[in-house]
Amino acid sequence: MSNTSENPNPSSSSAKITLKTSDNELFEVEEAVAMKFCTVKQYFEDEKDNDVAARGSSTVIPLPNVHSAVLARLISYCKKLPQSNAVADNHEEEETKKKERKQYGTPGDLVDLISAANYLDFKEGLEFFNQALADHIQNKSVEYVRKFFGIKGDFEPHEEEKYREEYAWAFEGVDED
Amino acid sequence: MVNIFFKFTCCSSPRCLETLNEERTRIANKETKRAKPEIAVNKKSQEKISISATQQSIPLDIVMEILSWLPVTYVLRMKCVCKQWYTLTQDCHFIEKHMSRHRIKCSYNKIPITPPGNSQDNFQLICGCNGMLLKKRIASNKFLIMNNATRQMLELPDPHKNSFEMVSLDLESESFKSTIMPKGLFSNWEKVWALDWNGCLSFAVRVEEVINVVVLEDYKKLKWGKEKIVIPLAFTNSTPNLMEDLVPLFAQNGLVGYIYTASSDDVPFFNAMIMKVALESSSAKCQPELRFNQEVQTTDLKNEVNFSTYIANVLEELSSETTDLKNEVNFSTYIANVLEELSSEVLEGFLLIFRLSSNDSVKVIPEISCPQT
Repeated sequence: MSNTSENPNPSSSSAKITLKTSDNELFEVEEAVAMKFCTVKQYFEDEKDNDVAARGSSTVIPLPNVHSAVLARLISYCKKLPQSNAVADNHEEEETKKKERKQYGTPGDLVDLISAANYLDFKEGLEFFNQALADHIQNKSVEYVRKFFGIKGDFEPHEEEKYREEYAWAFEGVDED
Repeated sequence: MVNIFFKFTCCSSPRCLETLNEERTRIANKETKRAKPEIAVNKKSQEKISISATQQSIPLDIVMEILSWLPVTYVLRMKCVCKQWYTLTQDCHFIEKHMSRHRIKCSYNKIPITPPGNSQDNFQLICGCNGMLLKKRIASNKFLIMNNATRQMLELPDPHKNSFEMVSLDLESESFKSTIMPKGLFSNWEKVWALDWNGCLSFAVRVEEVINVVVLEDYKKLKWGKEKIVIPLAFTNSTPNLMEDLVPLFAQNGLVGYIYTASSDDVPFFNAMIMKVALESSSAKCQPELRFNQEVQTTDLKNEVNFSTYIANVLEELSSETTDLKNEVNFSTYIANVLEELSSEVLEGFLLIFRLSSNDSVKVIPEISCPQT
């Protein structure tokens, strides 16, 4: 697992793009990073007359839906983008991946990251954070998941009871909330 | 709530998607409480859905993505969170996505056989593929297919050796249907193949230099077409050997796909071939036009039935003009692979197991049982 090394020479010729978050923080990021966010990319394509490289850091792209804390995490994720989001073949490898995913904050943070990645149309990031949230709810109780997602159970009690009986083995060994 | 997540389920997708979209809109409209400033998350539809720390309302398409990363057991658990999630996880898009993310890791001969529920029966494991196991109930000699991940079982019908009968699996109801074939359809059933005719099941028989086809026009009413359709085989004139082992696999929009054996240095190999034919033409002699002819890999194939589904896959990949077939095949290979083992190893009464036909989103995998002479 090799992390993409950071650009050794940050002041190199690669163009920079400035992103402005909902709390008015400015982030100067490399073009390659910014272009991973399709929403940002689209912004440029919509204004095709202007050359991205030439305009460089003079361009400020407003991201009114993304908070600075979230964007910082997303950018740090971009810098060490994992090779693949695919489920690993062996158990140890998958556990390593899970640990890696766990580093990106609380489940609440993950929801923010997912929302931001969705808004920015950032496919790999969305997959990654979805997976991280899936890790979190994986072995939780149905009640916990309902609470977490703000969902009210709408099955008739007898329907739910019947289902739980039929698939009793799927409800065994639930983690504590 | 039976038949949950049986992997050969394919619900009719457009309807499901509609429901999802409706639900999505409903959620969006319903959201009123806001603990945090609003964040627009669904850029494409320009909807604004609020997210709050306490009430985390995530759009349904994202929920689907999240759930698709869960192993099967947990998906089964999450099905009872609410009706919406239940529907979501039954959706064929979800199932496809889930399957693409989780490779089937089990090797069937290592799996302990655990009869589900209060069943006292003992099982004998016959074979397995794609996560499905074929088992025999020792007491009753009945065969069943079990989805090892969900532990669901589907009992297979007995072969009826004394009548022309078609047994099909209806993927909508996930049950077997049995139909007596019309009498006098073909005089000799030994040379009959099941054929995919524009997505419908049909039977084909070769009569000299043509193939006669009878199509099941309406699967639900079991209505067979009255006229036999004629596919000319004029191209075999130049290579008479072809006549012997040419097997038609599908006919779609004037393209007919065949397989046949060929040999090089006495090593036989299979070729796939697609011909363009003018079916409207009254002359059976009109020259079909060759579109594709190539050897196909046979490394992981055990027998011809499995082979036919495989070939159909290969043909589609190679012929851009038959792409419509692809989805059909994906669904059917799943169970066809299991059934084919059944046919070759266990129940001699089943002569043909082939892919599916579809009509009004109903899909069938037909088998024909023939009288053994």
